[in-house]
Amino acid sequence: MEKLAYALIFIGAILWVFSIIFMGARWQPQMLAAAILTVGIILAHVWEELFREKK
Amino acid sequence: MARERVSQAEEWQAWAQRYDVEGGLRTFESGLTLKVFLGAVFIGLLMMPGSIYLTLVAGQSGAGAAPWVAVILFTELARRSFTTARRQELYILLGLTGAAVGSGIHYRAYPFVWYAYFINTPQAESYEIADKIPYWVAPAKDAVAIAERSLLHMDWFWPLAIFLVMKLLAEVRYISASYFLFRLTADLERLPYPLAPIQAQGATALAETTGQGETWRWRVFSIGSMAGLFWGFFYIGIPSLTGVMMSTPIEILKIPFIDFTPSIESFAPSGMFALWTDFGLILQGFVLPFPIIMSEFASAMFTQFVLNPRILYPLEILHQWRPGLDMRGVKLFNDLDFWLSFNMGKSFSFAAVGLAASIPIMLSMKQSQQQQAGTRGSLQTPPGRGDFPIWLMGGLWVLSMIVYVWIVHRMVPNFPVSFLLGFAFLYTPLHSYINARTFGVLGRPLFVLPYIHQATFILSRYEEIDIWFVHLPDEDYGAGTQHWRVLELTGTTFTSDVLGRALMVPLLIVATIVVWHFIWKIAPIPSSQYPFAQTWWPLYATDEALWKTSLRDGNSQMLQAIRGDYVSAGFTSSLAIYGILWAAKLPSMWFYGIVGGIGQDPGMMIPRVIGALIGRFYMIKQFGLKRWFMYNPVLAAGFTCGVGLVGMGTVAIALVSKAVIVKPF
Repeated sequence: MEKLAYALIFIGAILWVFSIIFMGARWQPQMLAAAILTVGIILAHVWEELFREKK
Repeated sequence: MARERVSQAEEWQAWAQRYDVEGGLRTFESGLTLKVFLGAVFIGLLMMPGSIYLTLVAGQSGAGAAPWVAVILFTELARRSFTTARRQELYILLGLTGAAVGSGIHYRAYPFVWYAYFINTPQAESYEIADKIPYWVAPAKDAVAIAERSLLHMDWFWPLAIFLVMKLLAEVRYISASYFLFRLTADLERLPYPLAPIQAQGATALAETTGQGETWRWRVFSIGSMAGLFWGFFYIGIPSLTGVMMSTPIEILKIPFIDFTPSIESFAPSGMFALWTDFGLILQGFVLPFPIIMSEFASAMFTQFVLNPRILYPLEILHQWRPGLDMRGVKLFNDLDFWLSFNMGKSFSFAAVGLAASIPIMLSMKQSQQQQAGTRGSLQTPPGRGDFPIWLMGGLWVLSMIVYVWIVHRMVPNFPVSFLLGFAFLYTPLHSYINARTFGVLGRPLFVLPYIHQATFILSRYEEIDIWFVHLPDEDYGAGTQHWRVLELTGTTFTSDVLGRALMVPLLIVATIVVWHFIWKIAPIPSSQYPFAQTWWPLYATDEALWKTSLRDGNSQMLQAIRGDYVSAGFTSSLAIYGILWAAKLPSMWFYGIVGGIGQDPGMMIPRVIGALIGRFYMIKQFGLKRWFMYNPVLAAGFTCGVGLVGMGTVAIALVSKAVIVKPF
């Protein structure tokens, strides 16, 4: 889960930079990047709170 | 070597413990006694007419220092009577006196006299508002009550009745919702509330003066008070006193800032830099978390010296900037062009991040049931704190909000009720939750959604003017969460605080209305008897008439400034910063600093940065980390008290000078 969170955060961040530079900073691709980032951040916290401490 | 990950749970827990200078060990006692209540009523009701009067005459009420004066008076009385005052009593006294003295000082808080004036102004007449002001705001402009300048008249029945009910309901909502959010942010998440110890330690220090021996708190508080007195005299006293005697007051340090914006435009066009001169903020720098202050400053510097001049300006995103503008002009244009929208987006990211952190905590609630109180992830309460069932407070808020929405719907029956419900049950919880979190970390609110009323009115296609006179159900309970944390730090039972407010609020509402009645009876407001009101109220009337008619053609320059792509940029970039910091195993404190500082003026942060550097590199070495964190809230409390006392003294002198009639012969 930790690795998935890392992957989503990086994909979201790169997609955002991409949308700014190459897609005219339109709000639709930016919000897609935001959705991916949000899922990544939630996963990161789920891992921290529920799995990492158990381990 | 790989950096070891410190989870957000461990990080917040460590900060929360650092700001709990007594190590979380305390017993809770009631702060509400008969002598406290009578003292608050006596001092509050004695000072309240003066503060309302001063506001109308001089524009300053002196209400900020009044609670401290009350507490000092109270402790002196206790010492002379060979008795002691407990810190719980003093904190409740501070709160009740503050509420009493501050009640009604703003003309908008008890707006009866204001609307009695506004309805008869040429502005209301020329903008065709005068005859459209609803009956539940003010009586007709030719009513006897207005001609006789009386609030105790049947003409005022509906405005007063609606006001009374709304005020009481607002109190219920505020108490219940702020408590609910406090449980989520302070108990469940263990956010540190860095500015809460200042108030807590002030009351504690003064309480100890009535005890047997002198403690370190009193010494540190006295040092802070003397520093506050000197700084207050230098910064507030000299300009105020010379302003009484001279046409132009002497300002040794320019108030509130020295504007360097025109000086930096050659190498940083569209950047702004205004050095704020209130060096009292150094004490905030002592108290606030060091990583937040430094990252906030770094990101503000980056904004004004790289982002604005090197990226946004060349790309013509900041297209209204032109050479020669001062800080206010640059800020206005930059906000309209970009930062207004971007800042909205970044505010939403605080909610997203807060929810992302809270959802897993909620999921793990079952296993947290066994955890002891004071541990992150647990909703267990410390014994004796006087807590309420969280479902009861949530239910009270929902119930009082439903009643409130129903009343507002009755007042403006043609306004779509869906918008009222949206404000009440979507916007208000979101707004309050974000600000509760930012208070828990930064000690200040960050969520601002500008022109939301105007946007709502346009979207609803509602054209009647009465909607402008309704207090829509958009509220922010975020600041109120800090109050519960202070109660916890002072060991005051929550029940005693709620009881004190329940007794005081109805009394204050009635007393404030009566005081406004008598002040209005003395002379018309505005008139030469009330110079400040005479100068400013006509301008306020113009402003109000302009706002209330600004959407008649369905247009607003401010609304047009909000752009979806910039809002998205603010939201997504902030989330990306949070994610990258997490991936790099860096503290989440940095996120609040970096995102909080983006778009801000670094000059206003310099006093806090100086304080943070002195604290980190000198004070902590001198006193040790633990002792310094014990000292600095007490020092800051003393400083606030000292500055407040100077402010009150100068207002009193200004009042005396205005009371003297100078004869020209």
